[in-house]
Amino acid sequence: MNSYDGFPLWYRELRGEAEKRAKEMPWPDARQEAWRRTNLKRLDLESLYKTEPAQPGFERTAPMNPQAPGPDNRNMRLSFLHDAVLGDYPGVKELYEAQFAAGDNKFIYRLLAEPPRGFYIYLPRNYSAENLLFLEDRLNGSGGETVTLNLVVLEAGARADLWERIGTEDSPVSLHNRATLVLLKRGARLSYYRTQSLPGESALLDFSRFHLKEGAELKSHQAESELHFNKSHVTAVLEERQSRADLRGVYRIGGSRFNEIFTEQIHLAPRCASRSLYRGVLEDEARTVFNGMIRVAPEAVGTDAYLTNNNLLMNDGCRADSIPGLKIATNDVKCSHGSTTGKVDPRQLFYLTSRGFSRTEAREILTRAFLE
Amino acid sequence: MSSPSTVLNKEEYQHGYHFPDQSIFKTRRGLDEEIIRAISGQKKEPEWMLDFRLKAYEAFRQKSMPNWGADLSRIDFDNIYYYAKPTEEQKRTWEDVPEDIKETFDRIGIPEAEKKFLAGVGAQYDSEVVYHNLKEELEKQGVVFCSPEEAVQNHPDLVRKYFGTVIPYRDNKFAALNSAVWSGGSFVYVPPGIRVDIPLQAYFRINSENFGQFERTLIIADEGSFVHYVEGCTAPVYTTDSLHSAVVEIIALEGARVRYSTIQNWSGDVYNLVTKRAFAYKNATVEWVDGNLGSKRTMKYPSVFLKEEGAHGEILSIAFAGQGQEQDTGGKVFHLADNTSSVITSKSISKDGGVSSYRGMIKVHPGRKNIRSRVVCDALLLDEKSVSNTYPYMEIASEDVTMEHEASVSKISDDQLFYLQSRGFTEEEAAAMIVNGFLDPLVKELPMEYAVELNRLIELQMEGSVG
Repeated sequence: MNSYDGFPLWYRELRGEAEKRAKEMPWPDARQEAWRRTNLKRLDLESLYKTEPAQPGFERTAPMNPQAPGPDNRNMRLSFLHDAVLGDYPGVKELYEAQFAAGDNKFIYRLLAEPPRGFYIYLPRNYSAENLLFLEDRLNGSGGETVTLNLVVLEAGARADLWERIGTEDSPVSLHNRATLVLLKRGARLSYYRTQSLPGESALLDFSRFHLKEGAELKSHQAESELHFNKSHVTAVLEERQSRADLRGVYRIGGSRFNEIFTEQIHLAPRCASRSLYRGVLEDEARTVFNGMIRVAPEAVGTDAYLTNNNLLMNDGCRADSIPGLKIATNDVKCSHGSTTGKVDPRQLFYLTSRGFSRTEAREILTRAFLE
Repeated sequence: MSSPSTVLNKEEYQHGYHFPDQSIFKTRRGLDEEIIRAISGQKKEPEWMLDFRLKAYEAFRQKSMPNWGADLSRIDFDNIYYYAKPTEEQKRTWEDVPEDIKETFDRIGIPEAEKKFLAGVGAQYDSEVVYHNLKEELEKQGVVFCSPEEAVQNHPDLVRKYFGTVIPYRDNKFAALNSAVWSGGSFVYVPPGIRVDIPLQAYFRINSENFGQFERTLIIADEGSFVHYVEGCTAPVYTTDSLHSAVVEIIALEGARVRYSTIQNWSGDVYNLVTKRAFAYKNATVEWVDGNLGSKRTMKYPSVFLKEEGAHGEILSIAFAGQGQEQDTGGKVFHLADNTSSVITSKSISKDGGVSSYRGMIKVHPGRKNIRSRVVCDALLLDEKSVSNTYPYMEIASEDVTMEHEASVSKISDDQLFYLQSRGFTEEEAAAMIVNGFLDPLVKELPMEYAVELNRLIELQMEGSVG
């Protein structure tokens, strides 16, 4: 009866609880601060969930390669998430549990309740990936919800550049509910690039998290293109001292598209640094929400955190909400944020047109420069 | 009289003295329609005002408590006196004011201030304005400065035209409560073209235990006029929770300028939940200067609606959160017209585990041209236990906008402390000086005696904070 027989006990319990919550919880609504500005009506949840996600029909109840990566491992490992959970590979439990603990809405619990689909990447101690790692989510939108989790674990001192592209092969209107969960152990370094090439009618919900141990460094770059509905959460948890996270993102949104970005810089340990820089260009009737938060726990002395959001509005009719927040619970900190919203500088525009560019060209040049 | 055992921290709180309750008429605890009728009857109000109160009471019952901001779960609406009337009738001169009330005022220092600066004093002791003095030349100019009760009797046209238009009674739960049981406050009308050069002042005080104070202030500045209204609060110390829920409405008509300054120093058990809002019409300017010290929980976000072209709004906010206190303050500006501008400056200080939060909103409606707005929030944390939060909301739906926001959180810099100590100050003195310096941009905006008082209060709050 129980199709999760071969899975570790912690996973079965966590999944069971997530499934229960996913069933019982109502859809998020405006009463939740994180969803107050999100127009979920755009999603037409009714029809998206008419087709129930496929019930688990597992081919394997044991990992394909039974040897779990561990301290002896000398090479990078790429597995299906299914195998990684079955084999209880390093970091899987920690990342699952952190995501579960952060769960505050039905979507995240669905993400955890569904059978594990996605990839698991493991870099052993001091392993330095020389080439850019490229990971593509080839989502098969069936008109319903797709659920994907990618887990990335870098052991102490490992280094990698990872490019993740979210794409799809066909284009029925689908909701892609996904997360990339990353664990950077002591002194590990990751440069992470995320792009997406989904069809414009799609909807994307992303609940990515990065956990940084002592001295780990993260550089995250995120480029958002136009989607009917796009809500992306990026959380960096600086768990141990002297870790450093740098979150960057650009978005260029037109039409009547909706784009919402949530960033969280959570400082739990002394002397960590974090930066967030998000820039967006809005055209037509686009609507964007940027919601950033720096949280500093009482223990996190010597925190250095900064958060910036700049929006460029190309015409009337678009709307940019910018909500950079701070929650600081200790005094030995340097925390600040800045936000600007404005239009293309008329003087710069004049200068470029006086040099022979057409108005349209000049605007394009200035917009690109803004996003650089 | 409350027994000595119910009085907390008397030494620490400089204005924490308390006189026997001599109120002449006082409603029972709790609130129902009967009490509202009694309040209205006591004030000999016309039917339309009673209707307004009853409708507001209905809205109060229907509205839910805010699900955000400070923790308000301890407020027990049934355990509050909603109305008390201290003396029989309005007094015109200082000599007629009852001795114990006068003594309280003496200690806060009203008479000196009055001699020097005041144009008129409406000092509120419990719910009624007990003392009123408006300089003769102002009266001749047609400036009205009186209690809202008097305004209802003597200027019904103005009251009916503007009362409850800026903050409708169903705006929020506490505005509805105030609209139902309001008592006391100020009414100011400045006729076209008149500049009131000296600030109009009113001191508000709470004196009955468990007694919510619901004053109502309405300021109308007619075309091209100017007025500076100053309100200050000090309250005696009590052990049980008191509720202060005021409503302040300001209307600045074409070309008018209104400046409203408050320093509130409620005792540490008061819930201070205030709705303040202003409408600024063509080329009008509204400035809020808002200082919040004391109180248990404060939720207060002075707002300006820039309704017509050329209007300008400015909000300066200071919050000082000490032990057990939560200051949830900020400001809101709504740009509803072209060529409007706004500035919000917020400075907050948290100490001994206090929580200070900035919560603000800048909203630009679609298609508005040439909008400028700037928001700056600085927070100072004096120890590792204290908390500072910032929640700035910016909703921009127009392209022709220059919107800037910055916020920073820091502690007192060791370099500055070291420098001042090397010049012979103790650490405590040095810290107090740095805090006063941090607040300087706001203090400068206050009338002189308020600036002095604020500096004194900060020094008092800072005592024993270092070392």
